Amino acid sequence: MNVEILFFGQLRELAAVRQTTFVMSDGARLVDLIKHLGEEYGDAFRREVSNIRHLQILINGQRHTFLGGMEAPLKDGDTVVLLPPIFGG
Amino acid sequence: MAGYQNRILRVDLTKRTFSEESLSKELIHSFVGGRGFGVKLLYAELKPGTDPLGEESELIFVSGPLAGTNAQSFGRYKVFFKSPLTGSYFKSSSGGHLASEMKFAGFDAIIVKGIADTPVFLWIHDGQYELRDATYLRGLDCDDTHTLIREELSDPNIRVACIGPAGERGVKYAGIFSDRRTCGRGGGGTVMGSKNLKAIAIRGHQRLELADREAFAAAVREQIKGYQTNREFATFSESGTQNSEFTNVLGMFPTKNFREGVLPNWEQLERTEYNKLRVRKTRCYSCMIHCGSITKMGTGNYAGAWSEGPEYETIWAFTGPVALADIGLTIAADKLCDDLGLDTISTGSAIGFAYELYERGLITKKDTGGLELTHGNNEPVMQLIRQIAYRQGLGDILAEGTREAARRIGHGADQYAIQVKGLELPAYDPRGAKSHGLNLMTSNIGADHNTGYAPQEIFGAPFPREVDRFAVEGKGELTKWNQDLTALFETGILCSFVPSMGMLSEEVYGKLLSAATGIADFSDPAYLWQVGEKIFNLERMFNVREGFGIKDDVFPKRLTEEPMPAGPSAGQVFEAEPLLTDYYQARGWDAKTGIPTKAKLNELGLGFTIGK
Repeated sequence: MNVEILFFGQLRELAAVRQTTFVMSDGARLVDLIKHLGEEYGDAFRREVSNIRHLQILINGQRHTFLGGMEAPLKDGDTVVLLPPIFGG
Repeated sequence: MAGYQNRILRVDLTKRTFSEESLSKELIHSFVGGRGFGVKLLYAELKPGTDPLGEESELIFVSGPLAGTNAQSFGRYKVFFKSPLTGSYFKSSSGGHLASEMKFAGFDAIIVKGIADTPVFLWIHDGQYELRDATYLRGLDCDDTHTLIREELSDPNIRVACIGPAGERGVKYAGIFSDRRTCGRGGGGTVMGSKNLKAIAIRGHQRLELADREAFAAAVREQIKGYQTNREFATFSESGTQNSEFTNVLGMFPTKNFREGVLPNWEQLERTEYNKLRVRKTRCYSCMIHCGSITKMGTGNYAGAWSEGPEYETIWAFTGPVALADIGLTIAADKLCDDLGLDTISTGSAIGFAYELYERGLITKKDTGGLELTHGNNEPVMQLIRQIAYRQGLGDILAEGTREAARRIGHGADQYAIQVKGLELPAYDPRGAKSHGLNLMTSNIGADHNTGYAPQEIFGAPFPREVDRFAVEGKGELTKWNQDLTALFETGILCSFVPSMGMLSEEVYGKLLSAATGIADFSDPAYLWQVGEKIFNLERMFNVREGFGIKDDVFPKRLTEEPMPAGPSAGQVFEAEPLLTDYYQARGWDAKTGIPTKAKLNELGLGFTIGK
């Protein structure tokens, strides 16, 4: 299945890409995707993901914490957003 | 009393007279300052039914007890008035340097009433004051007004708050501008224009007394440490509010007059794009965040255009309503509104309203003077801004605000006026964030996001707890929490971005206040929370006295009945009835009327409002 990923802030700089699509196995969970991203973009990316306080991980616009956390299931066509804290007003 | 200058200046423009009075100990202890002073004074001063643009109406400028000190981010002033746009109580706020200058000049508040027979500006300097002729300033834009007043008084460091042509012409959402910072929303500039008051100019050098300088310095150090260790600080310092991506990825960036929640090509408005156009950073008095920016277009249709900003709301105001992500227009339109003296949110919303009416055939080219108001075509925007400011053509009716414009146009246009209590909604679709929406619905000034911003829903802030933005349950209590916390900090007057990021706690704020004033109660967060709740309830009672109630806490049907058609908030509506009932219950208000109960008013020391 295909999962689209959008990167923002320092994660975009580390991934050197704004948006990408990963092919995942059926039944994959968010934790699998994050692990996959770490392998793809290296240790610095992996460290940043675990260190960013208030990192928002959105699956189709909903925070992952309300979808099962890192165990949240993924399905074909999902969009996952990795959004470090930013503020508007 | 330390922390305050203990003086209020009263100006009667009709009689051209002045008087001074002291701050009462009761006012200080019960309402702390800032927004507390403003609502208490306005409630006491204005009789119910006062014409907002009449001789008896008042404009009250207030600075806070921490303005002018080296505590961080307290450089804001507020203006209080009865709004000509909403008919309600109104508070309007701006950063910059005016609040501190007001304190250095010797005053905590300035109350202006009456109508001058010719244009004037008020000149306040080190405890002295006079009215000066402003006939030659009539019609000038805000930047030029600043320049000429400083030249006339031979001092480039004078701080100015003024109106532009929009305020002079009675546009109902004209703002008050100080060095390109705006007291926006609600028409404070309209009230100022109706008084023939072009500007207030202030300069001062007076010392501020602090009750305990050592304790105050320690509290400031603690505040600064809180900033330095906050991980959001660096990002916000760099880009301020120029972040359109967050509401687009949540599917709640209002597009086509709130019909959709994602703007096509929104990536062209990301903060990284504005970063490329930034030529300088700007700051408010004693604020280490430096979140402001001077932004300038180098190429394209708007080459050479620049503005201070644009802030997030303004970026939305000139893109979402016309459904086109054009970064150059956001900068050019921002500067034009600043020059002409317009609130950008209501201006953009009025333009979006006109686009929808045109698309539906409720207005035609005959009404628009030939302008083609079709989504994706933003060429008419700059012209419409000028038409609104100068009340020309279609702009004359849009200058009344969308609620009144819809009433005059008729034929069901009211369903396309996206407003609460007459104040146009800002750049958040309530269907995507229920507490954020509930604040817009219940705010005492109409749909104002800064009255009770919900960072829990928008940014995922986990204080007081993490919440599901789509959930209904518990949102009444959360909305009350955000509204009361905002009121608490606005006694200071603290910039609202600081608590949104969790950069200052009530405890440290209490230390700053008590060290500055010597009032022990101010160090108690529980006491400050009750002051916040008291302020919000007194604002409500001002409106109740004017006839407001549950009938005014209402959204347009689009938001409550039409599911969001697509995107990350697809299928969502705003569940008004259960959310509002939950909110009234959390507030201790009568669920049938939306009015605070007698028990609640007595509990908060607001018994004097009962039966008024």
